[in-house]
Amino acid sequence: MVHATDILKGLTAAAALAAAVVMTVPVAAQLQPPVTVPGIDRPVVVVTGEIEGTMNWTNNFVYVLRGAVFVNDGATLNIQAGTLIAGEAGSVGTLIVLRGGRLNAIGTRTQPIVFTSDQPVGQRARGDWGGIILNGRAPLNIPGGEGVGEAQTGVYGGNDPNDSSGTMRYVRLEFAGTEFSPDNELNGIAFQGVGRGGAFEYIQVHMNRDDAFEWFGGTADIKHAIASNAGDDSFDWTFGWTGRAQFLAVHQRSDDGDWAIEADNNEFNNNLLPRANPQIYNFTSCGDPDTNEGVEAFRAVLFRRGTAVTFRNFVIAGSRTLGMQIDGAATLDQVNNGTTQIGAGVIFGPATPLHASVVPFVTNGRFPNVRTGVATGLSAGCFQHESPNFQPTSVATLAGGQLAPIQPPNDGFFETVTFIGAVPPAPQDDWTAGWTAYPQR
Amino acid sequence: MWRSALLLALLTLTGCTPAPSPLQHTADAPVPLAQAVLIAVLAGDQATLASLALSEQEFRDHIWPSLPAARPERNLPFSYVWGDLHQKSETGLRATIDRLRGQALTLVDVRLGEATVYDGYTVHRDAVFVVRSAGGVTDDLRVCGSMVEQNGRWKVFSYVVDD
Repeated sequence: MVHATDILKGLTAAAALAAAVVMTVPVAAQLQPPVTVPGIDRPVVVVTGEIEGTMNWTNNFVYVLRGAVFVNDGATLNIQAGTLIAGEAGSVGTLIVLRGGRLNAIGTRTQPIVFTSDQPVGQRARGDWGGIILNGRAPLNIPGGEGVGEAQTGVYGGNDPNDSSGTMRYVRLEFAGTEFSPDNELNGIAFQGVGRGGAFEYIQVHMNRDDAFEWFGGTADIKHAIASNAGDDSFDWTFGWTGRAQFLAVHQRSDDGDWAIEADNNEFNNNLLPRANPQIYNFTSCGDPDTNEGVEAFRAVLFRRGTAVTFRNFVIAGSRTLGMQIDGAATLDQVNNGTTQIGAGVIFGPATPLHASVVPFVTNGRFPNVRTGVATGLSAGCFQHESPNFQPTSVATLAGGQLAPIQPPNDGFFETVTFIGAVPPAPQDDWTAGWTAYPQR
Repeated sequence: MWRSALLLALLTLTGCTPAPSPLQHTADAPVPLAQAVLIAVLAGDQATLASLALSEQEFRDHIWPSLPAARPERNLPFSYVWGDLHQKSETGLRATIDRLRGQALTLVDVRLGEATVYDGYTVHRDAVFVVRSAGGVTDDLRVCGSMVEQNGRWKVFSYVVDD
């Protein structure tokens, strides 16, 4: 397991970092000359303002996001494997990629890119800094086809499903999600009208104050993603997301958090088009089974407000109260008209595994092979907050060995699988190992 | 509609008390504010609801300068923050109206969550409306997000309901 402290020896000297940061920077500058900070093994570069052209961040520096840093239309930010980026808490560092801008953050399993808080280890918390906002030109179902944003900031959406906002691979993001204002917290990563032209793989969002991942329309795909200890929902979508997703893992903590999946088409008009209709294969949710730290995070999956979905090969564990719910006539219409496809999964742990809205479809076989009476095959390690283990102990224990997966489309994105859930059973490779981390503070 | 208009007029009148607030259409306590909001929601009266919440000018002139997000080093344009909040508020409000319009509900009480004190005003988060149905059933409703209190006057911060 790689921790931020392994990557950046001495980040605990945050006071020194803060002092150096305060000394360095006129706001107008974009990239300050590196400064040496006692206790930190690499020179620190403070970044502010707007990025134009091509900028490369390399792992021999530590980069501090001061305030909102914009990657402008036409600009590209490349981040090398092993680079550490600290969002400054005092200024709420936030990285915002505007339409036409690109973020290429490409780490490796042994050298992930880490976006974290600049606060000392042990004093970090959800909401220390902002997070990442990606704005693209892919379709969404807000009337007019664009999200409301004023001036030249934050406009998203368009008519190019193949638009690219860049690529993120082996990236960890932790302790983000501060608020812009009361009632408006930031997601860990917000995919706003992001197209499928880029790639998003091996991404962990940990200890975010609001949702970990949220898609606002768009067509972006994602594979191998972990949402852990989110302060609200783990995976959330609205405004017509139509991407593909495979191997999604959720770990919840009862001190805060809400749904593992909270999914809308559009809350203003549930039938606006393009309709949210992502295809999700291989999902595991380790909901908190106890109330040792609080009473939150007690439910798992909610499809509502007109969304359609393909939801296959899932394992839902813990989540004390509720496993799966489909809410609203427009959402049920998508089941009855054959668009929504749910099946091959096991739910074990919630007092009510299946809401009454779901039961009839399981009973009549419309949702095939949904089991609620068998153990998931996950160990108790699934629920450990400091080092959750998403890997079933064996194929034989995975839902009692009873469930074969439903194969995803052979479309070049999805992978053929031999298991349900996000992570293959031992002794196959646990793809979450080696690059993730679960610090609580 | 006439009941909402009357409430709005009463709220405006009570705004002429000795404790001045630059905010318009305020109430002197959370309960009357919630009462006006609930009546307008049940009537689908979006104009009244808009007036009961912070306007762009009020947000810019009286709220924004004290928010941490407004500090120059944060590099956040007002337009970005207001636009994002306003969009979410409008969306939340429409969803709330769709959900509650036409129902027979009466306000029993209001519960407020954490209070955050800013220079010149206080934001009371996570407002919960305790309502009673025609059948006498009491329930909790999230109708607005936070309420803002300034000089003893109360107004809706936004209709963003994080559910």
